[in-house]
Amino acid sequence: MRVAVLGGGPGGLFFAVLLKRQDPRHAVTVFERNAPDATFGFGVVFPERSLGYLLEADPETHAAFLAASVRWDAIEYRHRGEVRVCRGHGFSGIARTTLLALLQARAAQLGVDLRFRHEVDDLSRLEGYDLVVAADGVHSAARAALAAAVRPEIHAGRSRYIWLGTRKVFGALTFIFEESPDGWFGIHAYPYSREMSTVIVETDEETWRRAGLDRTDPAALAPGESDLGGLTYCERLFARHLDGHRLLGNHSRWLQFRTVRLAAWHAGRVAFLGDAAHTAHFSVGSGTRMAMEDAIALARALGEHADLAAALCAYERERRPAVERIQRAAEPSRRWWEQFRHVGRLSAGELACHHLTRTRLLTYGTLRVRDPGFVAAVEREFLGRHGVTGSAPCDAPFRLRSVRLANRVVRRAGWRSAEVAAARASGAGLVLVGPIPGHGDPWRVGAPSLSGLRGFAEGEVPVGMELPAVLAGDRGSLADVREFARQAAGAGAALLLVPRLLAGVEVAGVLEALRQAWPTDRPLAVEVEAWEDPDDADAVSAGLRRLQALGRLGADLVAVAGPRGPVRDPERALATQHAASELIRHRAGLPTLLLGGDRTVGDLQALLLSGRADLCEWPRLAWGGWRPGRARHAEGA
Amino acid sequence: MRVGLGLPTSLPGTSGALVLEAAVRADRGPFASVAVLDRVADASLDPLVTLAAVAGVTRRVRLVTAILIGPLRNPVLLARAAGSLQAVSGGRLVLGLGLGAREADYRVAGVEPRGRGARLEALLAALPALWETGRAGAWAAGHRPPILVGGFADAALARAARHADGYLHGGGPPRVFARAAERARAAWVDAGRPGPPELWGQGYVALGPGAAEAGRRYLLDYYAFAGPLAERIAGGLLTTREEVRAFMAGYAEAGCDELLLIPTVPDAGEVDRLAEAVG
Repeated sequence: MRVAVLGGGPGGLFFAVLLKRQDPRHAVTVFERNAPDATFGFGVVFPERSLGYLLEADPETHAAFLAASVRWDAIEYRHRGEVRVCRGHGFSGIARTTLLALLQARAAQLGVDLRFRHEVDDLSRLEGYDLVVAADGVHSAARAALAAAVRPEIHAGRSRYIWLGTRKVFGALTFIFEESPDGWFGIHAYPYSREMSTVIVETDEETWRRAGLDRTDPAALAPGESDLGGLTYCERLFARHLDGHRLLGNHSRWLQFRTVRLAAWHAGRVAFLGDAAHTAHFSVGSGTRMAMEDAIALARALGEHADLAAALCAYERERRPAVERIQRAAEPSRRWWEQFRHVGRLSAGELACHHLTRTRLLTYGTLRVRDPGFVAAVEREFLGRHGVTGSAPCDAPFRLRSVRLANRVVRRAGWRSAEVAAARASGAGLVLVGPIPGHGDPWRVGAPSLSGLRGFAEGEVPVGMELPAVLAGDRGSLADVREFARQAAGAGAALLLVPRLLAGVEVAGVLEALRQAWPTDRPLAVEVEAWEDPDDADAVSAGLRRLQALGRLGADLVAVAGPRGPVRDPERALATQHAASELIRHRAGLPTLLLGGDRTVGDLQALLLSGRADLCEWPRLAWGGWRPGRARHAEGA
Repeated sequence: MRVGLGLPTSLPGTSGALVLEAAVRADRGPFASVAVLDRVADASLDPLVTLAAVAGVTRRVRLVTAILIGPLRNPVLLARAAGSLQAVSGGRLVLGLGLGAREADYRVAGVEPRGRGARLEALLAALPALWETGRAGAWAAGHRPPILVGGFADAALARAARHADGYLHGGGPPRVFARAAERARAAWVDAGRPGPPELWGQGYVALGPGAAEAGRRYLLDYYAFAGPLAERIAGGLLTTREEVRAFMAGYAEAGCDELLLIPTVPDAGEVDRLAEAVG
């Protein structure tokens, strides 16, 4: 078979190596528009465990990689003058030039024809080839030429970032946060040799404009030239972390991350591989790894199927689900800076947890297994703020007006007294009583009566009640609402929750009516839905202003609802809900309660430690024997 | 670390007599258990029936399903059968449950493979109550065997953490087991479990003269459905005493509680050779 590979990046070269190794009879030519030693960017980073496995597909490449790369196991955070280090992760870094040189050498050794400074601008010139592999990167010319067949979808992120290098050698994957008069900036840095580190600086769009960093026209920069204004700005802001070293540019300019998705990964005899086919935000460090995995899968599919079309289908079938999984996981990571302007409000420990658990690829449990000391330290910090020691985050008490919750777990129950009793015995810090699905409402409009439940809310565990929506609906009246509040207070309820109401019902009016009849030392909560689209800045700002207004009317807690009805993508629904909860806490200044959702106990601990929520409904994915407050005692810790 | 023996219930050329003979030899030690697999679509002995017979000819070893394909069975009847086996064996059953890796097993059994994860979840949630209340036969009450859950996916580990006593890994070199063990420990923490999981591993052996090639052929055939993975698995076959020892050391280091070693040729002598290698 005659094979042309467009693009001499890691994915294209590794594919050429594997195909040639698998069957030396193939004639494989790699076309690269640049010189062999010309590469933009500095180093690349890999999660180490996956890489060792990948490169075993060619042990010679693996050995060369091990000799030329640096390895470390820590992720470090620097924020507000403090440092937090989380170990046990495993990364490798290597200079892009070194990685390419070793793959080029291996390809040449196997008889791959490498043609540098050779740009293929027209696919029709490759007529003599049986297969064309388009590994020509995020700006793939082949993809543009075949757009009608592969239907690319390209989404540009809003935050801005710039790739730089430095001679300061960091000892870990390092995240540094600094505030300038214009706003917050963050660094992702990692070593890639014994002399150099990659530094990526990122900020949100507004800060970037305020800082005047939008003034350089990237089109006016020659290839290889860097945006010196931006470079100097970053160097000054992060100077104390660089130990006197400069920031270095190499074709460095401010960029928006482009997420690439293709409807089809192949068209006729052309197959797409690596960034040309798909990208996922750099902050999950998977770009090069995905390209290498593509290379392995494509070479294998070609070995297993005599028919080219069948091989390309098998390649896409194998790789697409794995790639889409990473792309989905990378979304919250891409959004991190776009939505994270309240970074300055977080402590170093909260920030570290927030960032580590941003994608749910790393769970609380994983962190505790990999670095128990790190988790213990951030837990101490969290618990110390709440005046307790020696328990899990979810066992920290919480106060709403004069009501004290023994822990952060809320158990919901229907109106039946047996259900309420079971919920009170569960160990939850608050029981929230509401309607039983499918059983209607025991409250009649015009005569709300709690007489059947007299005294049910009295006892050690505080019991909150959900205002029956019917009382606030178009057939009820604010007089009913006030009467309900008086009776609930008399029955000993500790909190009232205003549920999501029918469209057109004014929550502010209901809240005012409740406040008139409800004791001032007891809290009121309002339920809201998470914003459909967290990227919609106008909707988010309007929602936050509305909640601030409700806070002024006497709301003490915002219950952020889980999705209603069946959910197509539960992972995304959870991420949306958590993002909304966090914005409400930090920007509307109100504590939050997360309702619904399939969460583990670990999710709950991570949400509390990272400042995303204050209270959470009982985690549905908990082991049956789990009870708040008991886990640590059993461990004897 | 304890070591268990895989019984030859699916090897070509095996027989009921050979399975029982292997079990009897295993009962003399140093093995802590004997284990059977579940393969509906191809020639193999039924796991629970086999273990019941083994219970009658052994006195000491624990009886392990590694694994039994849960969603193929009616939960009540499975609880009844497992509870019965637990009762007649004097509490020696360890019930390993999973989804199985082959769609063919579902096809042959006439069971829809879609939704099998949710059905396994429901089974795991139902079993303890079935045993406790005796609804699956009153005499089975109180005969709850320990449960292991197998599988590679995050969902399988989370399921194990919510419902099982331990995690049974599907096999591979020690470093692959070590990664799975870390994931299982993390899943246990995330589910709110107070202690660590019981961790079980497995590996294939072929020690006798000429056994290596026959064992390799068996594994390539057995894992033919898994594509290129079959080569890797067959490549990992342990064919010498030294390999067995190194494999055991790697698993012990990774925190394995019980390692099942599974002969791949139908020869009772393999049990003695393995016993000698295990030491």
